[in-house]
Amino acid sequence: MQADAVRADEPVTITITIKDRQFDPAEVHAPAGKPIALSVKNLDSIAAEFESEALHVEKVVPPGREAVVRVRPLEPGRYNFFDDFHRATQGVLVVP
Amino acid sequence: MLPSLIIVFREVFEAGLIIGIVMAVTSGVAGRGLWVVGGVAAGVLGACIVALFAGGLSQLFHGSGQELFNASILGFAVLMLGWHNVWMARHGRELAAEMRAAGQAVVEGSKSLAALAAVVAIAVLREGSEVVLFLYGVAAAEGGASGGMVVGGVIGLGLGAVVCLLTYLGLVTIPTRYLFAVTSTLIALLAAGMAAQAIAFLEQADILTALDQTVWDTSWILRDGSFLGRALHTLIGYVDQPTAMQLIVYTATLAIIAFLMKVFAAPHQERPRAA
Repeated sequence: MQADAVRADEPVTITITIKDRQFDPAEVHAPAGKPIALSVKNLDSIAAEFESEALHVEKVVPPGREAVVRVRPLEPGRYNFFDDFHRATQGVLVVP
Repeated sequence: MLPSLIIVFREVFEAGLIIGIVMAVTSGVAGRGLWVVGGVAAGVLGACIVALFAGGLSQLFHGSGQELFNASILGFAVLMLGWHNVWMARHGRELAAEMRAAGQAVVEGSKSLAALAAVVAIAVLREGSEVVLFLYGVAAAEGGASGGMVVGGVIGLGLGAVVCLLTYLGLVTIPTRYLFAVTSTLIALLAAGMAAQAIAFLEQADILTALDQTVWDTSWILRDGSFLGRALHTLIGYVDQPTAMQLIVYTATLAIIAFLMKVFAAPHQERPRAA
């Protein structure tokens, strides 16, 4: 029996903040094949909608709040995400 | 003006498709215009309330409040759509007879109207809450709503209404003979798509993780984020990378609705044979 083994499906947590209508960091990295938890903190005073077509997530992040979205395990690639309320705010999740 | 127009239109056009379908499905039923308008009004009111409480909602249930709320109202819409189909299977004949006799279905039709009005309200509420949050954010950021933003939003709304009208006009050209089968199918597909969408929200919130493997990837054929992709997403539940659980729930919803329609269908009436 394996004791203290890390669950194979434990998600990797990545934190992204929204400040001055920009993602920080704008480029994040995650390993392939593991579920991912994106923790998005909105430090601005207006709502943002964190969205990604490639990752199939969309969630409103009210001002001053934090939202967590779970992403299914990914193949290597570049996955763009954006603020649906302000398309100029963009970022990318890179899976090597 | 353009960003405002695009964002408002993208949210509104999905609701426009649903409203167009509901209008076509209920054509000939007395008072259905009032019910649909009522549904839209309730949806708009609901959207404002949801937008107001977005902050608090997002924090409920360990941060999954938004997804649980979306999944719940979508689930309720699925029930309403399924109920409509089953009810029509049972009473459609009476409805058609009433319409032939009186030119309008007065009494029998009203029962299914409430269910469809609820579906309209839910569609408007879901899309509307994002529109309200977006517009409020723009107004707050620039210290006041700019004329360009307002014009853009209004045009976006107008374009959504055009989508609704086109959907309606396209559907009512279908001959009455096929109308029941076509609208029942449309409603069933709408319901299955919403059910799968509810699952996607639960997966996003990490509440439902079973069978979350991506079964296929048709994004090279049609991205579900594209304009046509979103239309198909609303109409038939198209998703370019469905998970196994989404596919199972989609198929099960169709199967259950079809089964219930058969079980509760009005008994066949034999035509008297000529001697």
